Amino acid sequence: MMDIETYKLQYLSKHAQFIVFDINGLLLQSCDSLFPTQNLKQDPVYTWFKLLESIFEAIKTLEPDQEIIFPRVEEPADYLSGNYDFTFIRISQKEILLIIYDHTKLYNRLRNFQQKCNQVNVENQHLQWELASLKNK
Amino acid sequence: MELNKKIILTGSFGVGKTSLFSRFIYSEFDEKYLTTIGVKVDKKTVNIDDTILNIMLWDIAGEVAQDKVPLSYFLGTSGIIYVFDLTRPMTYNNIATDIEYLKNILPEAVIKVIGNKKDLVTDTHIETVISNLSVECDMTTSAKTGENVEQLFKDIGESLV
Repeated sequence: MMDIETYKLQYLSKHAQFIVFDINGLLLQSCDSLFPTQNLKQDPVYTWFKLLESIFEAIKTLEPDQEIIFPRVEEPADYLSGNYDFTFIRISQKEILLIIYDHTKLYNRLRNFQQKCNQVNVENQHLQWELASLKNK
Repeated sequence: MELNKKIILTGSFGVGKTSLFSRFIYSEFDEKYLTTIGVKVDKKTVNIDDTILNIMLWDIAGEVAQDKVPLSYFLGTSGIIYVFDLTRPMTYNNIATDIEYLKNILPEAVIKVIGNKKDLVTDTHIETVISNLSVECDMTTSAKTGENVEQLFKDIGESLV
């Protein structure tokens, strides 16, 4: 039997990628658990994801140790086609840690449930509207 | 001059935010309703006079009230497109509260209020809805036919450059 920390590391590492980049967007480290960065590293990290590209200036203003979480990011890149949580943490004056956690299975179940719920609500609202229109005639 | 601006599509569920997103970004429309559970981001470049404007568009999951949207989604936002469904009063009954909330958390942002699904209703119905709305409606659109969609983004783009 392995040590519990080893199990934890093995299980968690399959679902999360840790990326460290500097405030200019230069890749410093990546564990490559979810996608390889070999062919991406010549480009600034903010160009890898449109989500990050659109908020990069704001992310650079995070205070030391401050973190910000973007839950349920859908299909953030061609090589990440599921649903993920993106967490940004300012780990030093010039470095930012990005944790991408893969919640695809969980969020797919959530989507199925939400889809049914929303459809029922929309149908109910339309029926109420039709009923009100009939009463007004 | 080249500019990047983040614009969010927000509003209640099922109002057509994702359809507006797909119509504007990919020139596509799908009749099938597919719930957004979080956020999807894509980019489109438009020219506004001498400015190249990169619109970073965020399609946000619909919520019955804007204070249910994760605050992080609003980070760095320059423009807000608040969408309601012209066929469903529940999507515009609380619009004043929602707009007030958005103005409080993003006081500098440009806000456009949009009535979508105009292909499903008559002009008379649209006039009635707009005249009874507690805030000003900037435009009515149809993601299905594409009517006014390009104009919507041109208008908000002009407000942002």
